Amino acid sequence: MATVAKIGFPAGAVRPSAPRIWFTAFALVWAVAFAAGLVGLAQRITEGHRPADYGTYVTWGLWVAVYQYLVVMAAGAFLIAAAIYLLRLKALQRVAPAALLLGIVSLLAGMILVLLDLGRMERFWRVVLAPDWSSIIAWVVVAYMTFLVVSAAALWLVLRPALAERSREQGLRAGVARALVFGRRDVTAQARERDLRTVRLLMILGIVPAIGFTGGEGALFGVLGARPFWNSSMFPIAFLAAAVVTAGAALTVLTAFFAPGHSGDKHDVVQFLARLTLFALGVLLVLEFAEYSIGLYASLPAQEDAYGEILTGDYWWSFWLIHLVAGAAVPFAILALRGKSTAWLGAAAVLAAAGVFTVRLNAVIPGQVIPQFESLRDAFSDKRLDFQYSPSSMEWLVSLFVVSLAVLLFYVGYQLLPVSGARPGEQPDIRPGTSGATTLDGGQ
Amino acid sequence: MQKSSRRKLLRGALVAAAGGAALSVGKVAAIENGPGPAATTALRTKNLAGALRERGAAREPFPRPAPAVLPATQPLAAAQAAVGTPTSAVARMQEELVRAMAKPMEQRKWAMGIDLGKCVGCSACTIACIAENHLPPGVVYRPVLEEEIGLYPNVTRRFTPRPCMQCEEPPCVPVCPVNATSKRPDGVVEINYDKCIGCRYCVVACPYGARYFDFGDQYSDGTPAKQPYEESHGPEYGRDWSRESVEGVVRKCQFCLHRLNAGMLPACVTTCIGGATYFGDRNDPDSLINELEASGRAFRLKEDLGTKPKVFYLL
Repeated sequence: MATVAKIGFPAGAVRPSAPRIWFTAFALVWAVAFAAGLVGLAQRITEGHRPADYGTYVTWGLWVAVYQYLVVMAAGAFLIAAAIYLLRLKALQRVAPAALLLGIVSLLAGMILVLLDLGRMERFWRVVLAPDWSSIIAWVVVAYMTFLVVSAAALWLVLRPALAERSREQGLRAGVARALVFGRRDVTAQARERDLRTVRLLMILGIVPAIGFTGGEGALFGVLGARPFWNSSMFPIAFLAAAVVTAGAALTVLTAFFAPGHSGDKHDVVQFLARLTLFALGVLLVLEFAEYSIGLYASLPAQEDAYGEILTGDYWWSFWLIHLVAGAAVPFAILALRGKSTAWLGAAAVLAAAGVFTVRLNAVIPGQVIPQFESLRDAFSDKRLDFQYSPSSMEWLVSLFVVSLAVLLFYVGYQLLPVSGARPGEQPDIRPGTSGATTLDGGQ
Repeated sequence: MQKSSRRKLLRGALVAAAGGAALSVGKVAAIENGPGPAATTALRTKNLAGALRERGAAREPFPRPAPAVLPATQPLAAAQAAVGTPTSAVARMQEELVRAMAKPMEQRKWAMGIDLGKCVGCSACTIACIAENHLPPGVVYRPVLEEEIGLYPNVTRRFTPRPCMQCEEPPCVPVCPVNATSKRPDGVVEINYDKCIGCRYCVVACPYGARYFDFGDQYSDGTPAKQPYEESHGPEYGRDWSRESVEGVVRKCQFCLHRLNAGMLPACVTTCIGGATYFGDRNDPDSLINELEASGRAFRLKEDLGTKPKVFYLL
């Protein structure tokens, strides 16, 4: 029994609720965001793309940046879960189910946003049923599907013992558990061992689509020879680093501010996640430096101009102030100076995640603001034929809708499923020798 | 004192007006009569008749009835006749079009040539294309790029109409996730508006910025009523496209395939007032387009990318 014991659910003595003030504040912000987002969604549905500010020359805007942020975060969450299960990272075991849930929700949200970005949403099925395999998008969509199936199966296997236990109780959660357990109520050590092996296998299988679509998202840009700024093999690798930063940051925030338990209990996990996040951020910064310095030293105006746009253009502050200062320097400083505070580490994660969002924007937009021909700028006057771009209110609101929808889905999943493992009576335990009937490792 | 000043001012204005008028007459005379010594000095290379004559002598590949070099006093009409009127080239291209259309599609390869020396930047082709294809706001298949070259006094303007290049190796085609865009056997890169999902990946993949997303904008947006012309159906690809059917898809120049099928040259060719746009079958060894392409003056935009555009330019 004990040999299988490394993997399981969050450990024992935890308190049932997160600090109330955090939750209330967050719920208020969420409610406003969701309500505003619904307005944007209504506008998108009734008026199509007309209220958007993107046009033909800058044709991928805020939605593409947010979509990429979300799907890349999904992959990062899965990769962290895979590392936990495959490398038996005890320190992070309590967040593994949440990481899997985050991956699923984040990917679904990203797919919803890119669906809204399509000119003809009703034809989205063509990418699945009638794809052209010469396109990276077709492969990325296959990777999404595979990822969702693998993640859902892994999450189910991870939660199955707890679901089986809970299915015997009364109430909504028990009803959900009964519906999801699919009659498999065997929680014996052998059954758990079998499940664990399958989870590990799924983790290995899932790494391929997770890395595949993360790299694929970078390659969407990287393969475009027509755009010197994008045409770089650095993009797919940088996207992988960004995946770990964003997912690590989300899990850090979740654990620091919302997960049940004493601050002292959580601190090790938060610290580990924060360190992982900032390590990945460091890698991302090194890759960025390589990309920018080589691009600038190449002295090709088509490339230089795009970097110039990022470094000194209208949105210079997003790179220098949000990404480098608030999103990188401050989090590193927090880790160095306030590393013992769970709340500070959570704040550092928020800043790092915000910084990476500007990285996404600065990947998508500057690649398009440099004209294919300089004289194309003035060749024809129309609001759609403009190389300036500033997201419209509809674009912001729709993005807000999708992000708040993702938060809602995650919250519902977190509440209805034994993801946090924190509810009395369902408390799984991974520690050898402790009692806890619902762990994959058997626990007893 | 006051009276005297006013008189001075009036006199000065009269002198200036007379001088300006004389200069204008001189310019007109210089343009119509060819570059006499004085006119040459005054107008240098901007002299239209001189430019036409030089170009005609050195560059026009199709037959011309008049001598290549004109006496300095020959009027503009004769200069135009010397270089071949646009009409004669259009007539020839028209004949070649009929010849090409008689062949199976895979045996013809459409190409377009644009003589930058002839283009006057009037944008008639741009407007004709918009009218022909019923294009909405923000969708312009053939904008004309304008550049100012040189430093005063050696300054000129270059006009470069930029349709879809119909690349032989189109970067926009393989990126489409639903096979909605493809290269036809006759070389035209087409878009299936019934399949396009509007992801716009092809838009960012085009090195020439020649693909346009149709946002569904209307010219009458912000006005009380939609106009009848906005309800009319577009003819692209020989189909009947309602306004709604092409909203949210990517669109681009397709060499007016619907006109070719009806035996007509593309709208931009027939409306070019300078006769600067040529069109024909590259597979026809006797075609005008082949002569022009082999003239030694042809170049393509961004040739280094290896996309092999079928639109070439003449310098």
